[in-house]
Amino acid sequence: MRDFFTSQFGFSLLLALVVYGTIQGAVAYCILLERKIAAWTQDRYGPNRAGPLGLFQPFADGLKFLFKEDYIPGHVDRVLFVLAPGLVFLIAGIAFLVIPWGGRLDVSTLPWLGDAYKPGERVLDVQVVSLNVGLLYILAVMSLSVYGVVLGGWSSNNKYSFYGAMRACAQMLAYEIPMGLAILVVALTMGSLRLEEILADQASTGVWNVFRHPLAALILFITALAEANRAPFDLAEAEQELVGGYHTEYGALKFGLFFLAEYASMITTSALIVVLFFGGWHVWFLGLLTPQAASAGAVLAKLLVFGGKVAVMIFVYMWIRWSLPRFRFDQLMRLAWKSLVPLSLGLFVSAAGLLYFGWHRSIPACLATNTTVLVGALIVAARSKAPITGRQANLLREGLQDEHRSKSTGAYSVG
Amino acid sequence: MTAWAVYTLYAAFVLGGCGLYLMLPNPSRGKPLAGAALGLLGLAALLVVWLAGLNPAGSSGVFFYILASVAIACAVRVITHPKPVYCALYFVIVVLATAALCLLQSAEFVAVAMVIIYAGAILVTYVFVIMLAQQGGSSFADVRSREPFLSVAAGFLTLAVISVHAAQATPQRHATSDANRANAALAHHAEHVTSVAAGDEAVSNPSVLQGQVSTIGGAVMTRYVVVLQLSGLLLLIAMIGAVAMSRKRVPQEGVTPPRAPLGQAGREVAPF
Repeated sequence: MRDFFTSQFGFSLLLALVVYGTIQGAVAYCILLERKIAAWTQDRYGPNRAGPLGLFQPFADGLKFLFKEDYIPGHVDRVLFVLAPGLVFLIAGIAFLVIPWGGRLDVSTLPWLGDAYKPGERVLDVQVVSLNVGLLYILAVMSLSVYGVVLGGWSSNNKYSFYGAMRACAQMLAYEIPMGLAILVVALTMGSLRLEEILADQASTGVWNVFRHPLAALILFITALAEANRAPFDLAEAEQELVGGYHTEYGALKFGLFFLAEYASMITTSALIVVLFFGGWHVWFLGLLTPQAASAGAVLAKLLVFGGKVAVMIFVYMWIRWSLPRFRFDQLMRLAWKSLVPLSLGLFVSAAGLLYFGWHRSIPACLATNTTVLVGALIVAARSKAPITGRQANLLREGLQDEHRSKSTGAYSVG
Repeated sequence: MTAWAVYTLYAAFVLGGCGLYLMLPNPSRGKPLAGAALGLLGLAALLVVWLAGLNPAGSSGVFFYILASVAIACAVRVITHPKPVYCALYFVIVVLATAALCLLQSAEFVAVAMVIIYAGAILVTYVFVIMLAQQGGSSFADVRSREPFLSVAAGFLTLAVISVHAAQATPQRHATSDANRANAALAHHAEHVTSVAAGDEAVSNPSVLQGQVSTIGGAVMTRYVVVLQLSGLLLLIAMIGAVAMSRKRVPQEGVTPPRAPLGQAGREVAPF
């Protein structure tokens, strides 16, 4: 038994269960945090009835989801209707597998399990799977997550749900490209697709990638917001236009699963950003946290630091949600295709150029190219006129015609 | 490869072809259970041929058979299911099963790249399917397939020719008699042990190297660089074509647009 839990396989199994449970618990409290932050932004109290400071509110919400009637409307496609939330939930539950939470663990330093081992005899990865394509694995799994949303929207057989699904689809297709390019910039700089190598590199040199490529970090953050369907990119569930979007017809636990999956994917994307750009478990003032430190205490400290960074990132997500208005659909598409894609392409090409000259690890060179790309984009943006799109074009024509009509007939025109 | 194995292989494809023909949607026939049974029989015949000596799965064993069966069964459902949305969903399962087959060969990069590429591509298909498919029941076009006999015959003939030739070209990994098989296994094991002892597993077992991203990247950037450039050019052409087709004339500031009837404003699309 002891041998099983101290082997990498057994440890990974255990770690997967523990992390999964932690994420589910964290999700419940993220929902509370979200409501508290919303209340704080809007100058109200927020949930404060269940328990001290409303701390038991997640239990009340969870029980409500569990005990509500699990109703399936008559007009839906039953198989896909039931499959969709499960799919969303499953995919949110497997994306975190390659995140390197806490470096490496020397089994001999564990309190009672490690007595049988000599120091350095058995060293485990505090990571469920160590894939040599870990970065691509996360991209692949996240690109699958939109299927649940699309299936849910389609199977609901309801035009609002359907619009939500279509919007989610278009948004996913558009924002995956800048996301992939921003991640590729990191891959080029670090020369690896293994998340733990990228992290160990940042920790041992003490230079986080955000100091080399702040623009790429920003692009990844924006696209992560879009991939997690968070405001200001939550057009798929825009309450004012689409009732609830793709989950209009869902209730009880099936709605709860959609909800849980959204927050779980928030945590996963935050962890990804932290690993790629913010040095994972590394902080400068704690000399204990090096890639070589493998004692149980060091691993615990690393886990805490990592968790703290993820929490800060999630707070920023929520802060943005309650500060910014939602995009209109054409603005969303314009931001993706006309701003983020060219920007990230420019960054990618410049990162490749830096690699060619061997300057890819020097901070001034990286910052200079980032600034150049940004300044170039700003100049282009300032010199180009705001495009007249879709409905605006119609308004312009009708306005011109109204003007013409009012001139010729002298009729009163509004506006 | 013995003659009876070739005949069994042919029989498997004939059975599979008949089964698929019966399973293709046709409003004048009843439930396609007979077709499914025939198809299963064909799969069983394939299994017999494989188990009897030709072992394409190598050491990955039972997972290969499970994943391959899932992939084949779902591929059949892609073309036989009456609802287009389900067809697209089955295609996703086919892709995932194939990616898992790549993983069995420790080709991690190919597996993951496949999921990334196909997930996006199928999503686009999905959009079209969802736009065209109606929720309330199947349409006329969905319940019948076009030229089922010819397409099944052509497909399975090609499959039979290719696989029989591939099977004859593949050297048999396991001898047929038990004693020989045991000897072969022993020899394989000994070889494995020596290579591990030499600390040189990667060289004797190329599949360890194949999945590495750096290996693939090196090959793409050196040996296949022309192919890479050409495919990039092709994609660029496709992109320009897409932009040209979706071009729409919009009025600019200061330019008086041509007058259009009120309901038609902004709707006309100029051909490229």
